[in-house]
Amino acid sequence: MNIAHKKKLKESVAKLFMWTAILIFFGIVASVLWTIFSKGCKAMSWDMVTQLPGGGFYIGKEGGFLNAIVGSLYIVGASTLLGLLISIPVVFFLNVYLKKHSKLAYVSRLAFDVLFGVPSIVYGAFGFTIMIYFGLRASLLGGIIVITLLIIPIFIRTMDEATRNFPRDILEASFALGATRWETLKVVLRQIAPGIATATLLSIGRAIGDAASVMFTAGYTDSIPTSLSQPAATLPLAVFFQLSSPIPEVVDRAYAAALVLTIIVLILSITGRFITNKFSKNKV
Amino acid sequence: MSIEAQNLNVYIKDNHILKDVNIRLPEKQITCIIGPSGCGKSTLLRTFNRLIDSTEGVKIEGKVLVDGQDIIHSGAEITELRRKIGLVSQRPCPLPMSIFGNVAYGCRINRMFKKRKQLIYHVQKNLRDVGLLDEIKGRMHTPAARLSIGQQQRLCLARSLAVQPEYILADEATSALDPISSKTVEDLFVSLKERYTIIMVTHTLRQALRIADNVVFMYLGQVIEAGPAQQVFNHPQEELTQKYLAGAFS
Repeated sequence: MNIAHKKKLKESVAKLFMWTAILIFFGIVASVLWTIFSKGCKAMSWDMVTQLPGGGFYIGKEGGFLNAIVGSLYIVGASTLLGLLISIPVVFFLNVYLKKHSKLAYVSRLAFDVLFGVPSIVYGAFGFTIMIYFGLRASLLGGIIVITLLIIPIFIRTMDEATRNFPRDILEASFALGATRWETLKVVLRQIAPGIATATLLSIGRAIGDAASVMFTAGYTDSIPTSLSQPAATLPLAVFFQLSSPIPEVVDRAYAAALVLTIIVLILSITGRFITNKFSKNKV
Repeated sequence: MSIEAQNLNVYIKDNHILKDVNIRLPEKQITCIIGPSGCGKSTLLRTFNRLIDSTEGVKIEGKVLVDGQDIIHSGAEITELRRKIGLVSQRPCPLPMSIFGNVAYGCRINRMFKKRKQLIYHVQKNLRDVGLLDEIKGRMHTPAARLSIGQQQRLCLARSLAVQPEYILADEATSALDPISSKTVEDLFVSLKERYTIIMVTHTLRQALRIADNVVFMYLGQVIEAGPAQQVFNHPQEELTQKYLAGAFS
């Protein structure tokens, strides 16, 4: 076999590997979506997304899981806002205030990497301990706090990656006009807007889908919380509880809840991308 | 109204970058700082508006007087100093905003105008001064990054002028531009010297020959020779200057 022939063969083998990997990946995605859609659609109805659970909801009677949808949106919305408020200053401090080879920056990044890898059940347990210490019961507030803690490392690491390559020239151009570092934040934010959007999407994805951390901290309830101290239901737990039921109708409803969860994430991703494109048009 | 360096020494980590620099830059003229790469031209420029502060491990000794005030040790208000000293960098660097936003940015942070109408008028005036206004008609609110490189550099100049500085520092401001844009920007500087004191670092001797009123020749962190352009170019006193001008090294 001559060299050209060998090269060609190598190329085809490599190509074959890539195609197989891609096909397996698409296969998995398609089968997950298929399972959720086909099983979820069976139990899906207008009532499911507009009604609270009725008396016999968990034995297959009337009602819906609006409580879980609203609870999830409350928790995710509040914790995403809190997460942004906390992580943007951190990222800004790491990248603009600290020198490039600062020890503090190094240690902080290491710490966030560690936190990034901590499983959510640990956050849940941690939140639970804190809540017991302060004499709090499972509540909307508890869920929001624990989810915020869970997503802050995701926010910071993703935005940090986007900001680290921030052109030094732009900072200097702003300083040279007499801007303080704080005033320069506006410039930095505009430049890293796509990074912020990606971070937000990742965080929301993690926050809305996580069951372990909210199980003990937000609890579960059949009503929509009207204050921060009341417990709140969440979609992942709605899936979890109903999936473990022996009644087939209830199991189907678990898939319906999963379907709603998937659709919410899908809608958020698409609008997120759309908004990002709008914001990043000024990027240099 | 002048910039003056007295016994200025700048160290970055263990490197002695500027060695005992003593110069006075006359006002309302173009001073070109020339010299081979790595001789400290840019460092000197960055010391004048203290952008050098953001460099790691920097130590400054001696004095830099801007309008008679020592800006290194007096605890001078650094943002006001930087407003007073405009900077045009080597590569044009538009902020991630629209064309209008770029010019308005400095005015906004320095709170120059109360009414939006005044701001718009001011932005237009500065864009006209650099000859951009007609070129970008109707594209005022499109991203600045979409302009050509030459246009971007003029935008950066307009942005600096908009905060009403007294001095303009230009760090090889034409080196990244094509010949035509380069000529436009150069002519702009010449026309601006009536109103501003311009200090320009340049790599091309010919550019210095064309536009300089004063020349500072630097070599290895030292000022070898400084004076009126005529004198330095036609009758250089130092041997090093003669060699450099003759093209013995660059």
